[in-house]
Amino acid sequence: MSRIIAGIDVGNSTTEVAIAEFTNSHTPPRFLGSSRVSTTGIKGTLSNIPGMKLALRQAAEDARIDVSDIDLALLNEATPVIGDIAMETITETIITESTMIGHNPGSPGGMGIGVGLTTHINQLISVKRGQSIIVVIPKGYDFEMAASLIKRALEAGVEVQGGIVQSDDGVLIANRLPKILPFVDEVGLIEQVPLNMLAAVEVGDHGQVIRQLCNPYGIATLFDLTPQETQMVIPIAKALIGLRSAVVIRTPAGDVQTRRIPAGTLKLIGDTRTAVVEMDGGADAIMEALNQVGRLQNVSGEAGTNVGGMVERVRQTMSDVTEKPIQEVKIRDILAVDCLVPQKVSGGLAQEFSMENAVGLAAMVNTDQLLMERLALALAQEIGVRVELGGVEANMAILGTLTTPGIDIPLAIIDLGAGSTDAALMVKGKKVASIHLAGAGNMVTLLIQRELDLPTGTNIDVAEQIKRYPLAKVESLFHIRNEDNSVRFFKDPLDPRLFGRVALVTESGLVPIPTEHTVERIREVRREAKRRVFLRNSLRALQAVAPLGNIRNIEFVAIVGGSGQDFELTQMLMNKLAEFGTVVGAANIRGKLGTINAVATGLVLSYADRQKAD
Amino acid sequence: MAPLAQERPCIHVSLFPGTEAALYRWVEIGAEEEGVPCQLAEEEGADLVALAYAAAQSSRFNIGVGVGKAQIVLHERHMPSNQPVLIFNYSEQPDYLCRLMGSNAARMIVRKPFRLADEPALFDNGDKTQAAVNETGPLAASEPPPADLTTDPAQISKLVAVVVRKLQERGIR
Repeated sequence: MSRIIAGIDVGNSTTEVAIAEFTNSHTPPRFLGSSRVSTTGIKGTLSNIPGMKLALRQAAEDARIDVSDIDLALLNEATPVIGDIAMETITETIITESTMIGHNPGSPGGMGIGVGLTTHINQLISVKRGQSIIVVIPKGYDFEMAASLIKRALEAGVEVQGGIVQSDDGVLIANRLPKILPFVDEVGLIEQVPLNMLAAVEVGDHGQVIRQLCNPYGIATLFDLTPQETQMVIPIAKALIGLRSAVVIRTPAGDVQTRRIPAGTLKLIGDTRTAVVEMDGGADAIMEALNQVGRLQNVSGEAGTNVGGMVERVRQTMSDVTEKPIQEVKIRDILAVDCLVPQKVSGGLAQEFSMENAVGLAAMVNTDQLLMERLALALAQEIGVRVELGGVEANMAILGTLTTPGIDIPLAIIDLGAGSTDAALMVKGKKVASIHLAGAGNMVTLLIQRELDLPTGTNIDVAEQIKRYPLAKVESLFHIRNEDNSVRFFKDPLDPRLFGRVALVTESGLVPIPTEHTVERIREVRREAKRRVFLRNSLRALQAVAPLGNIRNIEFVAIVGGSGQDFELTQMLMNKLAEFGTVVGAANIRGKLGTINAVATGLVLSYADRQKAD
Repeated sequence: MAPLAQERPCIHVSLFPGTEAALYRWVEIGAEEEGVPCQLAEEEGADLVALAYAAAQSSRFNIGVGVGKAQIVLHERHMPSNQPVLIFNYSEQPDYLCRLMGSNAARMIVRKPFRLADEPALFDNGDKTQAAVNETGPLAASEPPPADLTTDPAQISKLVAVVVRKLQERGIR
């Protein structure tokens, strides 16, 4: 009698299904279809049901059967982990009085450096002879009027040293003056520029950046500062590094400071000992401490600090999902990653950014079997098909991976998912060793999003896309330059809206990225994020399952999971693991599905073993 | 046109017969802000696109602009003659649009992204309408087609807000 079995694997990001037909217990099952859809809701909750139903329907369509034809559906058992990610900056720059404008308008005017009192353009007539001034030009003054007013002032002997312009007219004004003066334009909040204050304006030469205003001693020289005051301007100088134009205004009460938010300490409670680490020490110190505490039992953050809030948030989310009281939510693994994120300087006039230190944390909690049992029950009611919990996820993944041509045990797998990085090792005659670690694809996306300062919320998928696709620069309407510097020509002209932009090369064509970062910068951030999350976690995971904790004792590693499809990740992993003499390759489930569907396939295959056991 | 003037590469701008000559000045200003020279070129064309195309053919930068009474057209030498790079229809503020087109002509040469008239906030950080630039890609999946952009930006922001909420509900933050 033939039976149709479906395997359902609910992951943090996708839900996968495999459907197969068993004719008898001696012949291997015949796979009919499979599918992969986005998981609805957080893994392990009842809101997963719509996604599961859709996945079942699609797989059934693929198999040319009805969902009701399925005799038994097997669900991955007690998906053991749920991951969450958070990020917090540990430094911040605050300007208490507006004292600087530093930004990169597309085209500042003129060049050089000028120092003088800020003066509104309509006050130019009343300025004394020989007085040095910086002229402030709001939008109402068009460039010709502004230029002629400044020219007249210059002729009258006023030392106009430079200007701050609200509209995009810097070049036009500078071009119409008898001498070369620096003009910073596109200053949005010009009405907030204090008047009659000493200010310095600097515009770098073409293709160069400013030099004086990004140097604390340079600012000190211009404003005649004391050593104590010089110390105060360091954050200004830091925020202005690498810009082509900048303004620094000295206001009497002006005070810019890097305020260090108390980052707090993280308490790692392990089974052998407990360690307390300062967040200030950075991610490496945290991971180092994590190594020393043995198996992690729980984590807590110092109350009233950033990290305290971060850990509590993770715990709160998890408590909401699992419906467990908050104190019973135990964090079983964390991954800390250092990063530099651009933060808006509070108090700036032209939306200045300053690079601040931040730490990203991925955390993982264990859930109990109850959740999945509840889910199985609910699904069975919905679709009218018997649903049971299958075997342990890691075993299922190995079972599925073994359908890859050319693979045999002993075998280790690394499952690169969205929420967690898992590893399992199968050796003949031994129990499968497995581990789940916090931090995977979603963490990479978060790092990319924060480091490139991609707008949050709606555009989180921009970061996701950057993670997935290689980059290119659209150099003309007929050709692009790929990130490896090769050039591709097109027969038909490209969309003008792509022109000059950095775009992603996707299956459906070029997708422009709404950012002004260069190809090189985006590529670097992308690869670095993958390195810091996936490489680090893969090594941690393999170490945990390897005999004697030595990766060299593992000969073969197969990569499975959604992130295993990444276009560069497997190569990066291969390069890294080659150091240990380990063979690494991407799995090819059932010889055709690539790295996905391992657990779902494994669940179906486990049915044969169940029958034998019966 | 004097042969000497042709020696120096610049953007060629041609006026369609009957167009206000003052508009040329705005094109020139737009190009000047980007630091690229341009000059008036006398070309002939049956329509504005053909005129811009002719201007592009004679320009050493391969870039031509045709200024008309109701439209301004940017053309490039290698483009199909009937397919200009950009067209702006003056709804109001022809001077602003001419300046914008002048700056776009220059931006083609300095290889910067265009500034489009119907997306005034294009360069603001966090602008959601940008995702809709791509019509077929996955980014556009949750966005209405760009055609709607000009008609009702308020609706777009509402949709975006809904999407954000959905994403947050799903635990993606």
